[in-house]
Amino acid sequence: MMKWLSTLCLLVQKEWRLEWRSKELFTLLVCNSILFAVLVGAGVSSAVLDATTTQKLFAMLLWIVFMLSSTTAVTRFNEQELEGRGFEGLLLSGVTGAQMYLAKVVIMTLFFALSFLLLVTLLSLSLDRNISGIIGNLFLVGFGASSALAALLVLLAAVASTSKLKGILLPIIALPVLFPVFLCGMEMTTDLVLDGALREGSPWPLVLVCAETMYLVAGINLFELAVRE
Amino acid sequence: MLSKFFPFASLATLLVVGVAQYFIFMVVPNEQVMGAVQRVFYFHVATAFACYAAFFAVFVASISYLTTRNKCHDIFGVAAGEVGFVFCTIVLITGMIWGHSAWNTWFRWEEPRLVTFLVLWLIFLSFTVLRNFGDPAKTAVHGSILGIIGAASVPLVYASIKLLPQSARLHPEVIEHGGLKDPSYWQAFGISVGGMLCLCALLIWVRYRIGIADDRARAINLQGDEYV
Repeated sequence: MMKWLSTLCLLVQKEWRLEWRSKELFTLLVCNSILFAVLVGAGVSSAVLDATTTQKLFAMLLWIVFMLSSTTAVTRFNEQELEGRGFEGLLLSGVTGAQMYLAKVVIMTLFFALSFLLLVTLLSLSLDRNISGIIGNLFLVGFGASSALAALLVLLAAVASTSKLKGILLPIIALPVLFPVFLCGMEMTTDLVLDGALREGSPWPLVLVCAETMYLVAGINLFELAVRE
Repeated sequence: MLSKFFPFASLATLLVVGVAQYFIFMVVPNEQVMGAVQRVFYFHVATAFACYAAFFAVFVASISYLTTRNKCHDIFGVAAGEVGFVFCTIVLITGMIWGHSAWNTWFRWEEPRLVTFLVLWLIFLSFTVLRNFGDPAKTAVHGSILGIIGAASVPLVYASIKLLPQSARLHPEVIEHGGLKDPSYWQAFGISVGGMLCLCALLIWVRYRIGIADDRARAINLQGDEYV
């Protein structure tokens, strides 16, 4: 078990170094967040919406932008390993698909959570909303959704990256399946923005945990099949 | 072996669907409030059942292909996915026709069950797109992976949309609330569900046979290329 975990730690380090070297995911997430926040701000401004309406729209706009920016940013996430036959090498050296998958999920969750924080800040500035009182809870919601998002996108990025459409296919195949995560994030954020706290007895955290568990189980069992051959 | 039964299965399906049409248009009385438009219900609910059945078939075929690597199971999964996509489209269209008559609008975003089926339609669409644009060498494996995830997420999609505020539900829950009072309603409903399930199975079978024939033709072409 300890050996398994130490291999996982090494793979996490490898993923981190790979990203540090290429900076592709980081750059795409930051650029997408800025671009979408500017577009949303301009769109809401031209629609001349009042403050109450904008407050109600905040959660919805935040989650649409977050989901779109995340799914479009990870389109090249597995490209380096696929181009250099890195997966084959790792599998031959005894590393399991589950370890590779979990290492990627850890790194992607970290980057998604950071991009969520950036996006919340940018959107609150662009829509002129004060979210300082709920930023902690909002980050927790964002972190939970980020891990669910990463659990599915790591697997589906491996599927999409070898297709004829390359990364463009990823949003098409991932977003419909991610619908429960989108609903969870939106409902919990709406509670936070309008009431300042999550509704008592809210079922959404449980739905998020169920979605994440399902994606993780699928990913751990199927990732090796997706990258092998 | 099974292909011997194909003509009989086709005839039986035609018969059941024909009887269902007879019941829907000739036997069932007009509903008091909505009138003739209510008859859409029999097509709508029956195709929804068939759609769920197709999703289940995709799920089973995908798991089966990944464990056995039998090409036939993959072809069956493709067939179920494509037929399911067509049935899901019919559910959406019939729902919109009914909705336009009942709510005076084609689609209501605050209605969870409509949105659920739209999401299911999108999952089927993504499955079909991946099958057509995926890496040819890996399409079977990748399609099966998406088939498993897509089908497994259906209960979660359904449950999560049902959790939306109660006030937003407009969709009639006819069966749950015992809304079919006249015995002929139940007869028509049962036969139409049976008919649509048979039709779905038959179409999957037809598509499966086309897939098998296509696969054989490809193999023969490859052999011919090698010979040349």
